[in-house]
Amino acid sequence: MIGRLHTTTFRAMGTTCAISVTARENDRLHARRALLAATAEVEACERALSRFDPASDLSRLNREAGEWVTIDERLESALRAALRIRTETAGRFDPTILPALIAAGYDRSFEQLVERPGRPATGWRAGAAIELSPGRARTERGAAVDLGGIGKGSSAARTLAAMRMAWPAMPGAIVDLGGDVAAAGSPPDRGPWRIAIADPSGRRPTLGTLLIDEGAVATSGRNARRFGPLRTLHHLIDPTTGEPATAGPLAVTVVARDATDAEGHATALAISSLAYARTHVAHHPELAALFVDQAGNTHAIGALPLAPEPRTAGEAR
Amino acid sequence: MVLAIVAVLAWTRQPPARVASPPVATTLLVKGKHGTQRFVVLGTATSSATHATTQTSPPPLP
Repeated sequence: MIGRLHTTTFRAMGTTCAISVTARENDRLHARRALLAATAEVEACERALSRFDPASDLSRLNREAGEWVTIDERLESALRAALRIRTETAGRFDPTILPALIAAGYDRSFEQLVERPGRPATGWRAGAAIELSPGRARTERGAAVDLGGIGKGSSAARTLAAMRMAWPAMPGAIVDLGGDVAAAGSPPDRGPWRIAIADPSGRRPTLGTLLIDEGAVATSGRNARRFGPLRTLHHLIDPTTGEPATAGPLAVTVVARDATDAEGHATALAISSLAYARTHVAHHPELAALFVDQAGNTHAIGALPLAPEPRTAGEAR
Repeated sequence: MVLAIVAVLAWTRQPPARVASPPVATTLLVKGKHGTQRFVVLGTATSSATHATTQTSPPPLP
């Protein structure tokens, strides 16, 4: 055993954040310093990346579309990653879908949404330009950016880096920002980190457990944040139609080296068919995915590090 | 003589059973510039316990 797991939990980014660090008893102060650095980084990321905070860098960028805007390094790196993933996913992930998302009805923080029918997004096109230079960004006039889940993924990756900076000899840590998980090092019992995958159909508590030494996991799906009349709408916009996607899985979990990549590719696969998901992972062998189709059937794609199922009584050996 | 008595007593007394202690969680509240932080220090975890769960972001709590 390497000491104990020290954990802090708090609310941020509209969700519950749980951050843990492995530490021996005589390293309690180091653990505390790492957890304080983590909390501060999550709060700083939210200040830079939230579209619901009018004072955030992202809100300023959207208000001043067409003009160069000075931005925090957190927003700059998240935008760079978003643009790269937009290319890697052939536009299935697109950070400029915000006008369509607002038209669909997700026009304010989820807990403040009012029920109204979705509207067609007019005057909007997918793939709007975002230009970046060190410390500055400019979006195409009329465009607006929503980092959504990739903002959380990026924040999870940065939070882990902030913990390492606060305690370079940290034996291990795991950052969970509402289901976007980044892990490094080891838990106290020295094995890999064990990350359960929630069953989006609700039929079982979990679909299995991933064993992660160093890497990240993110899940995207249409089962949770639903809104509009009879809760028929969801936040996964298909950039080709500008409307909530009809095709795609109930949920998809992606394992990647980095939490930003895990979330961006999960968002893209969440509006894709199983065949596309298989082809995409084959072209990106650094990814693996668990695809849960709309009937609730699970499909493991790529080298998914799932823990072996425990044997049950009476099972043939 | 004394040593012999101590040795006999040590031999006749069974060592206490090593009972695995149940997981213990203690909470530490720290006040800082970001408000009050709650740190939970967990005891030993069983090998089957998970450290996190990935899921679609659930709706915010009311």
